[in-house]
Amino acid sequence: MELKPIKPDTSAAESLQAVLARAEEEHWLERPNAPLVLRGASFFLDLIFIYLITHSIQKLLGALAFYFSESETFSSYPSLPLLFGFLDVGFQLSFIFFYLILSVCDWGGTLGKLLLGLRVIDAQTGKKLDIPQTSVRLLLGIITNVLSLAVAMSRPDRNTLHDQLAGSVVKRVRGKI
Amino acid sequence: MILLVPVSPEVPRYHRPTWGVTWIIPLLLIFSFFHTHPIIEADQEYIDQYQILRAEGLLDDWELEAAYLSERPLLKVAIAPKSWSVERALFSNFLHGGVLHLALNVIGVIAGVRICTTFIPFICTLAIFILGGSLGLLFSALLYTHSSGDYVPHLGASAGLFALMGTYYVYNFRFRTTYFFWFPSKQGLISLKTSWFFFLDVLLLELLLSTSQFLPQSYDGVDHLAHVGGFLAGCILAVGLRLVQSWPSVLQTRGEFLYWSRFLGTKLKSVGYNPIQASFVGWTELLKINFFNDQLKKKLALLIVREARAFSDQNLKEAFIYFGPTFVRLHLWEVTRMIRALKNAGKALPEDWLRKTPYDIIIRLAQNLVRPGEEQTDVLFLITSYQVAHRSNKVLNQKLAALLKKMEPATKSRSLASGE
Repeated sequence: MELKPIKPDTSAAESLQAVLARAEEEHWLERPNAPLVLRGASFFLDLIFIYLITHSIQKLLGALAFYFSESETFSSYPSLPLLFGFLDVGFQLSFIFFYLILSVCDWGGTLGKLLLGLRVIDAQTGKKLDIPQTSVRLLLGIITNVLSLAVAMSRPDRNTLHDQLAGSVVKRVRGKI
Repeated sequence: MILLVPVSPEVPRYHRPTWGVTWIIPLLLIFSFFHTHPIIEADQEYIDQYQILRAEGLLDDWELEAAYLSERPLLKVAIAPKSWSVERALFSNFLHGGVLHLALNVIGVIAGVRICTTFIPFICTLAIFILGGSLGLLFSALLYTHSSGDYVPHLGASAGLFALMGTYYVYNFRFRTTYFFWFPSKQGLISLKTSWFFFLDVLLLELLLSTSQFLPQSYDGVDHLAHVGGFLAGCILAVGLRLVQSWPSVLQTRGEFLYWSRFLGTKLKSVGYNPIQASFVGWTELLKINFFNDQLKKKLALLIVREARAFSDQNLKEAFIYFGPTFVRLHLWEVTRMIRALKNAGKALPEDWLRKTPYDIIIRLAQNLVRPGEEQTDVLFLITSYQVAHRSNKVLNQKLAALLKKMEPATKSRSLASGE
């Protein structure tokens, strides 16, 4: 008689995981909104990280471009500076996409926000944002910048304008109930 | 403006570095600066003269130029790629080109010496500063291949400072660092994993910047190669020192090491010949000295996973004091295994620990406890224990009751499927 391997019942585990994930999202929604001071601090931390990485990419590619332009084999290629310029822009944009959009979608915040215990979530459901919502939030943040901050300062819940327009909210997730 | 400055390794207050010996090296640097200032000035005049001679076309021949530059006054005390000696390499650590160069290095050295004395005696810190710095400067001088820099002096305490940084990373790599965090209207201390900033500080920034040093066009006037060389030398010297000291990898501070090597044996003898109790007493005694040490906590957690039945409720209560929210967040898997082992051994989770653990951490632990194809009793065990511990908190109690109700179908369907 042929023995068939018994398949583990994964449906119960999956539904339990869903229940627990929902509990976590509800918990995040109940948490207080992040104070503006903390949001400002996380913004400056992000600026430092972004500067360090983009500056390093620029330096490395600058050094490589110089090396190739000096070498006898490659110096005859007229498109070499264009290629390195393209690579520079490509790497920096990819990094910024990863840092400002993917990290918010996958981890719930940029490095600065995560270090300070903040999470960006959907204001209605408490779920992490998806890529279109994060992109819209980022774009609105860039457009409204100071106005967004002024609106947040005038509101008791300290929610920024770009967060309201994008349907998101930044919560302080650490601490007891 | 924002400020993020490393203050000390994350250790209890009584282990924090002291200021006492911190001033000796900076004072030496300041004294050397004033003592050698006439040489620096003479060198500046010599270089001004060199510029004039070059402009007049009197130094067209490279050999003539090299001969002129090799007589620079500063090269009597400092090293250059084509003119160096071991004594001058040692002395170069104490030389600085200007007040700003000195000031920046003095600030760095104060911080470096201060944090290194948490792990090693001051005399070893001084030896690593001088030896590591000299090796870093020699590394830079010998690796620098452009002829334009043959007689450019390599000097400053920054290579020694990076050697101290290397020492710090060797001793504290697996632990956390406390940073002073300043932002207008808000300031305080924040602890971050040392290894995170290792990659940012050293690998990313310094190694990349040092690549540009090989290219004269993108040279920024900073000896990044000496920084990398000093850092590597500091790491090697610190690893050597650790081997000589027989420093176990789970220990963070000198206080723990002294207790481990001098007093712990006597304490363990009092426990008798029970290896499990001896290990338990060993780890908890060391944790009493440094309750921030996550490596010791991991050892303790592993011991509980392996020998859960051997511990009394009092033992567990004593052990769980050390598994605070930060440890659970960073080492979720170890704590999950521990909860599973305790449940299988029929032991209860300490109520004090459950009361102090935030709700979001319990949810994350519960997510980790879910295993496909098995009874989900581990999750129920955790949530119900948490509910019992918080019976006086009505809001949380209701929330947990609602959560358990939502979990019911998932746990019931599995029980029905298994025929219970």
